[in-house]
Amino acid sequence: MNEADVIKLFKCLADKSRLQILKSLIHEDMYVELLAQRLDLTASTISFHLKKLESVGAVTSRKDQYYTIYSIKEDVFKSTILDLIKEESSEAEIQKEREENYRKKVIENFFVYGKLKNIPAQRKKRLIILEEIAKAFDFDREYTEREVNIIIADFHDDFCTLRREMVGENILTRNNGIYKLVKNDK
Amino acid sequence: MNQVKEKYISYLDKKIGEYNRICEIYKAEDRKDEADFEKIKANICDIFKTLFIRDTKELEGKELSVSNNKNLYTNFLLRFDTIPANWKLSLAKAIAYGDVKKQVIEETKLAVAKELKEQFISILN
Repeated sequence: MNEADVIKLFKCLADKSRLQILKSLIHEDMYVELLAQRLDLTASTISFHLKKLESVGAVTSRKDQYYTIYSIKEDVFKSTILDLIKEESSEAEIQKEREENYRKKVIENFFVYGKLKNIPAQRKKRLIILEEIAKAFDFDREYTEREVNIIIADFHDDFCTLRREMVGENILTRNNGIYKLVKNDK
Repeated sequence: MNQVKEKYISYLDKKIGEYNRICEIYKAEDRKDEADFEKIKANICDIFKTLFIRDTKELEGKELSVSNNKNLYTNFLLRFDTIPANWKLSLAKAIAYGDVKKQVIEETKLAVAKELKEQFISILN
């Protein structure tokens, strides 16, 4: 667990209802409806809190017939607060984390459920968007222009601009009308 | 018309006050996310209150016949279908993409709109 994860965990735990959920899960594993009944909250509110707890690694879930059963992730709570505070991140890790957060924010701002809202004017942001679209392509595979257009059109109607930008930014190569994804370290 | 207007606005004010009060309680109890959901409920009531006042204001001072009254109420009732239409779409997308936060927000908005519609119909009757 790095510093950012520790902060996320503390923020998540700083909520009365989520603490109540954890208190219940300490005694036994439970499903959403049972927790809702016991804590007098709606099932959707419980689901919301459980999702948050799951995202910081405080709880885990498993399918059991019709229900999703939630249980506490004991190893997280077995560490002392001192252990968690002692967690340090190197400068390189902090920098990487900053970049990842920025990237995540750009993607969240420009994509709505996988669709690109608009093409960013700023190059740095546009590059992030193009790299995100590139994830839909396979390495070591050749694509015709039509195939490329179809893939990009799933994200945005202006597939021509995006295709040209991807070639311009060296994300895709183009030789005799055949496109290939360029390998990089990102 | 005035009686319906007064009753409904008073109902909406009561609901707004109630949601805001619960919101403050949740905040004090360190239940920020649930406090936000209560705020959303209050905001939905506020939206319908604004629209209701605007719709009734348009006819203020006019000699209203029974048919005009009915027309106003029919138009206002339609708002309970038109406004939440996008919320329903948004909810369907949230469910499809497993976006639990959005799902809870859209469900909350739809539940409040449904309650406000039912109350309006009950006042009319």
